[in-house]
Amino acid sequence: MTTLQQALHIFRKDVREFRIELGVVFLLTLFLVLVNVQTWETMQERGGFSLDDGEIFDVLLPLVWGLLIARVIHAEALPGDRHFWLTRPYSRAGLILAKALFIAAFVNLPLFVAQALIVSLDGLPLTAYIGSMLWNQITVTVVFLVPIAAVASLTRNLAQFLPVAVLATAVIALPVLEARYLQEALQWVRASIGTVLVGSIAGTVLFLQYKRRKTLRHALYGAVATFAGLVFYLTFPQSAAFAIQSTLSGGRDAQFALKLGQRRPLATSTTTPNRYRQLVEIPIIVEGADPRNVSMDAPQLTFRTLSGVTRRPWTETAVRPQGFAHIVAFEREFYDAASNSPVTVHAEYYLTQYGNEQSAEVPPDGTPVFIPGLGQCGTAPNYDRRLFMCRSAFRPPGSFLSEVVTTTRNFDGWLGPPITISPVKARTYELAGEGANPIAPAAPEPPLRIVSREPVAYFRYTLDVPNVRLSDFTIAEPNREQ
Amino acid sequence: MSDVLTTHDLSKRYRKLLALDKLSFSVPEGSVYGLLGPNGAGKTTALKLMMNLHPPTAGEAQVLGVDSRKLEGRHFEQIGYVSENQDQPGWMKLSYLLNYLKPFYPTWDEKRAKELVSQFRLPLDRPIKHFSRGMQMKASLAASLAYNPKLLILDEPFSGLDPLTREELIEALLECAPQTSIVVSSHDLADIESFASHIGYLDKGTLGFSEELAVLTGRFREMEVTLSEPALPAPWPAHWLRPEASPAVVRFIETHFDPERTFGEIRLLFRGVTNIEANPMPLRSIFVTLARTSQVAV
Repeated sequence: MTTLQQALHIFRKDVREFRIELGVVFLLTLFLVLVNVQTWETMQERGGFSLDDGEIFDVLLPLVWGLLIARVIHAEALPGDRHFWLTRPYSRAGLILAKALFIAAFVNLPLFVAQALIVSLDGLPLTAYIGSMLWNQITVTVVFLVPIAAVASLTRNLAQFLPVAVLATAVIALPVLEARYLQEALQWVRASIGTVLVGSIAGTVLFLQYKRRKTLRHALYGAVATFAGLVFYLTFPQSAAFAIQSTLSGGRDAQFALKLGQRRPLATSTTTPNRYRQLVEIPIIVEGADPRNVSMDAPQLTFRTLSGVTRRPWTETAVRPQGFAHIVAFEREFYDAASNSPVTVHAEYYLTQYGNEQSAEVPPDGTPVFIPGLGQCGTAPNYDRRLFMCRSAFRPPGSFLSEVVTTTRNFDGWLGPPITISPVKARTYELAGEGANPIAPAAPEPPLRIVSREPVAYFRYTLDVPNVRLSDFTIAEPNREQ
Repeated sequence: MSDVLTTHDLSKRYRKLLALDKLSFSVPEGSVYGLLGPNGAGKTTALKLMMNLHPPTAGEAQVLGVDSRKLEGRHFEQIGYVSENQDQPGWMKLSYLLNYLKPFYPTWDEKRAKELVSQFRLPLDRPIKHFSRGMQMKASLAASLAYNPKLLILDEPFSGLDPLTREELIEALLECAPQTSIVVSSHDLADIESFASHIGYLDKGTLGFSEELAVLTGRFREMEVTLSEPALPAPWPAHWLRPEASPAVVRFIETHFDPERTFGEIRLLFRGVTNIEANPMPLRSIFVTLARTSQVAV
């Protein structure tokens, strides 16, 4: 038998052995499609809110896949010396090929078909998402299937597999969750590094285990490499991530400048000054570009007095019509000492500039329009008003500008977990002027103009402003009672 | 006649436990080699090293001319391994198991497989996990004899089997013995004695002896010496085991029996010898003698 013939022979045996488990997987995949398919009209009827019944499958399917992969690998378990196949003419290459074929046929392919069905039955153009679907298959394989297969290859039964798999999932989930909530444009660099690390560690352990079957040694390699990879991932500097992104996007000089803005008129505060801290708002103006087309990641602000005392206080960045504003919290002692003395502000930014704007018109009557880069968009009634709704597959709807739709500016959407099971993501937006958007307007309305755009350049920007008087930018503590 | 299996100083250590210590022996082609020894002697360890299920700590084994550490899938086309410790794919019916294994072996003999199933009276349509232990061993043996392996390794195949099943297995082994060299480990001497051509004795990881059965049984004799003047010689020869003395008779086991040399030695060491009897010993008695001597030595 050639290696391929042997792989097919083992594959057929596995299909027969796990026919019941395969039936369960197919049934769940079918339910995934049935539950996730939502027409535009259904979503409109639900006031723009998508069904979340399908989310259970985002957990259930990976769980069942994990068990299926473990079972099929344990059918010819690698650790131990009792398995019948060890003294039969099995070729290791044929064996690993058979298992890979099984996973591809009964995990990857059904997922691909199910997601294609959901996307097309939802009314989204399938051709626009083929690339995302294939990329999703790669990430599912690299981040989930290969590590699960690696853990299964190091264990001989489910009792051994489950605790190790839970531990490995927890280790991988840490950066995944971090990636999900950081919402930074640079996050994709770290996420990609994490994906490559997970895939290469798991792939190497899997390969070595099938080649040499030194279970303890390979488990140790895997544990040490995972720990080292986790440390590397968590300590990966933002500057390195930026350098990678900048190189990939063909870095160019910024065609705009950032400057310190004028202080805001101080509103009369009804709150008592905080004994421990003082808030200061540092306005930053974008000059030479539409401020709406510039987003800012991970700003780092340093304040230095003439005597050389420096502070790098907690900073929150807000979007303003002219640019940005850094809300800085100084410790009371430092503020009181430095508030009326000249202070040098040093700021470092990672900036994303948006461009390639494309204009589209969306009828206000609820008829959806597909806008490339943004997704399927339209209006949906919600109680006594209307919402603007967009949905897209594999990524939340992209960034856009509109005079009538209130968007979170310069938000490119979270990266999301690397494994996307339910593919279509929807997002709703408020239409500007609640009273002006009745469900039953008296006269025909003009179409909504939407300008979609995409990131076109990334910059690292340094701003140094001397002689800043902190007391000029003081703001009051937010009034909690209001 | 070439050797199908040889080991040279084969050793295995599990942390502090030396499971096998410098095992050296060879199995001639066409022979049935019985590897004997009490439980925990290192028989299973030795066989697992030969099958590359574990790497040796030191030494080497050549199996069909291949270093055991380099044994891989294709080499098992000519090797059969049946062990009481082996996990069979219990979900398979026997018919499926045989059909599944068939394409792996270029020498698979369909007719022989059917004969073996019939000979062992095995049900083809029942999952193997529902087989009794004896049936599982027979199924495993049938699945190993069907491709006429050059070397068949059996690890405690008769353990816990009823006499009838043992007879059936032995019968099947004897049928294939001329073409297939067999290594069988057992602590059950009666089974080995009936069909082994060579015997090796392993205890505490060390090989006591390894030789042809005929030579072995030829060199062990239960000696009975009648004396007119009762007295034991000093020093007592090391190759005379388990001496028992009564006023006029001394009994012991001669481990290197040679009529001329042994009788001469007795007459030299004892005074007043009136009669010498040398009784052949069954393999069981030889084994018990060696085992007890070993325990006393400890």
